[in-house]
Amino acid sequence: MPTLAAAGVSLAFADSGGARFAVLDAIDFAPQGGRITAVSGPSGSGKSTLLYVLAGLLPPDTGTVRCAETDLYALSERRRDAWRRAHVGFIFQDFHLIEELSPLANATLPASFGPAPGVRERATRLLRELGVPAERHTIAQLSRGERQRVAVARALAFDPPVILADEPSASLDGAATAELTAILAGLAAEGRTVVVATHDPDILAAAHATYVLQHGHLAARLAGAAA
Amino acid sequence: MINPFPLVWAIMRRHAVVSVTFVLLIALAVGIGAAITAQERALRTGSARAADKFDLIVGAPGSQIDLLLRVVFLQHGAVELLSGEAERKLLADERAAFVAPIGFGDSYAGHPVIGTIPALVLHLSGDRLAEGRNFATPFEAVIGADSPLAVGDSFRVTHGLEEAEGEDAGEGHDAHLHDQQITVVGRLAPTGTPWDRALLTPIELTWMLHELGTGHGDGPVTRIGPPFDLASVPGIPAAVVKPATMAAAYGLRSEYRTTSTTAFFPAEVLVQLYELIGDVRVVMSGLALATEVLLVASVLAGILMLMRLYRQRFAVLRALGASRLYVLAVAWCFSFGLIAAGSLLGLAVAAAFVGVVSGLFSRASGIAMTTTIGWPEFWLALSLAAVGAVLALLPAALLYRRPVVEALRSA
Repeated sequence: MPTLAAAGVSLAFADSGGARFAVLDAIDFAPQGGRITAVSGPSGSGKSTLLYVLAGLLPPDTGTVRCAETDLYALSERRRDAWRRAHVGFIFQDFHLIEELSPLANATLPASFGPAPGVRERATRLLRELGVPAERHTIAQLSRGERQRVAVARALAFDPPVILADEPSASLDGAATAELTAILAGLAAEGRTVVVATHDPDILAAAHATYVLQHGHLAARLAGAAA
Repeated sequence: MINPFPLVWAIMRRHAVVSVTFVLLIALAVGIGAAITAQERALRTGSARAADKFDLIVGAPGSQIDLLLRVVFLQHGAVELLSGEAERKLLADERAAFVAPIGFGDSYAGHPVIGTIPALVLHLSGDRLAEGRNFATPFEAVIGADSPLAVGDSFRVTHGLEEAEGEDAGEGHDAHLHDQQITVVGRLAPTGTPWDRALLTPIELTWMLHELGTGHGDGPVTRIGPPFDLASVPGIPAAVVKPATMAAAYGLRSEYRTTSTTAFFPAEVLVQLYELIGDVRVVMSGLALATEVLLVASVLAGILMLMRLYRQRFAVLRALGASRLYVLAVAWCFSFGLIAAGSLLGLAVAAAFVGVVSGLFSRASGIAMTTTIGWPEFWLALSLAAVGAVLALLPAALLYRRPVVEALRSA
């Protein structure tokens, strides 16, 4: 599995008055494959922004993001899209599924972005393994936990080595969070690099390492209970 | 290879009511625009076909359009009589294969009764009647293809316009029934003209019913049709002339364009009418096209607002690896899909609209109208779709340019 690493990443945004403020400040971040790496911190600390930078969605002002030997932001946007499609699976807080499509169609939607051999078979297998009822025809018929599992299956459509999850348990109840945590642990156990921006104590407890951000600074790096 | 259609179809299903409304609005706009051109073409073709058998019309000086409407399209209205001298000269003109006097003013159950000669009857019917034989005595008639009477029926002529059988006289309150029974002896082949609704009788009957003589001197009439007794022939409002040759046609037209007569080929008057209609059509088509473009722009504005609702979803798709091109393709296909569907459906709307209007018009005028949706209408729909294809890039481009992270943050 290729390793993902951010080095000296800084990023500033402009507020409505035009004044710039730091969102990420000289962040070094190197999550390891086969582990869950949590990114924690208060709201506005830069957790989601760090995930976007790692995914190649948001170029930093300074610093680099590399995946193995590839400098992401040296690539054209089109190549970064292709890289992301092949290397990154994203999981969101609100799932962002297409309600008019079936669970399977949602899970295989990334196949419509470009060449995707084997995606349908993989998605079908994943949905079965993740316990999403095959008889459900629409997303509306699924529980929130089941929806998040469909989102996980979608993130895994291209069998990516990196999973980025942005507050994935924020809208789940305790049982569903426990299921998701187990799934994330399983993904890490397969050797994937799993990065989770979260406050959730269950996920933090399952993490091998936790990076704590405050106002864009890396305030602490904690070894997790799972380490 | 990107495939935007699963998502496009999902968005259409999610917003089915809005999508269908957009399609119907565009279809209605295209339908009205296409119907204008198709209807105008049908009217032009139908009227030209109706006038085809009327080679040359000669009448008293006045509006040629009025005379055309009276003679070819059997519209009601007063017509001046030819002067006696002009009439006698015309009836004796040897350059004509036949000169058919036309007598108006009578009716039966709302159907015009037209006095003329056997030669015109045969000419209108393509030299062969559909049924029966031509009239041979003053009290016989040949009916048009759409006449409610049958061969062998008898009827009495009303002077003036009687709206319908059994009803009181309508327009002509001075209408009165002639006593003479007329027997139907033949039926014209369909002509696609208002003459299909007419009842044709010998011109001698028209003269006799109006106590103008017989056109064959004093005494009982023993035959019908030309030659007439030029010394006693009554006045006629118009005559249909079949020139013997092409050269004779132009010669006759020139000769009877005088201060006391007018002569014209129906086609030349129709061309004037078409020019007038054509100008109106251009204006109306222009207005229709402008309306269509404005409507498409409005629909696209609506689509743009709809797409804004999808801004975040598109950002998620981008995070999942979709390219900007994919987002552009989804937005464009959705917009263009609605416009293309509306344009295609618009042709069906136009066909239905034109069919109904033509049917009503044909029933009212007797002019057979062949209405088809042709290349001009296809081009109109295609043009609108092409304009739509370009305009559809606008919402697509706006989404294309939208920063992904900004949309993700609005989650």
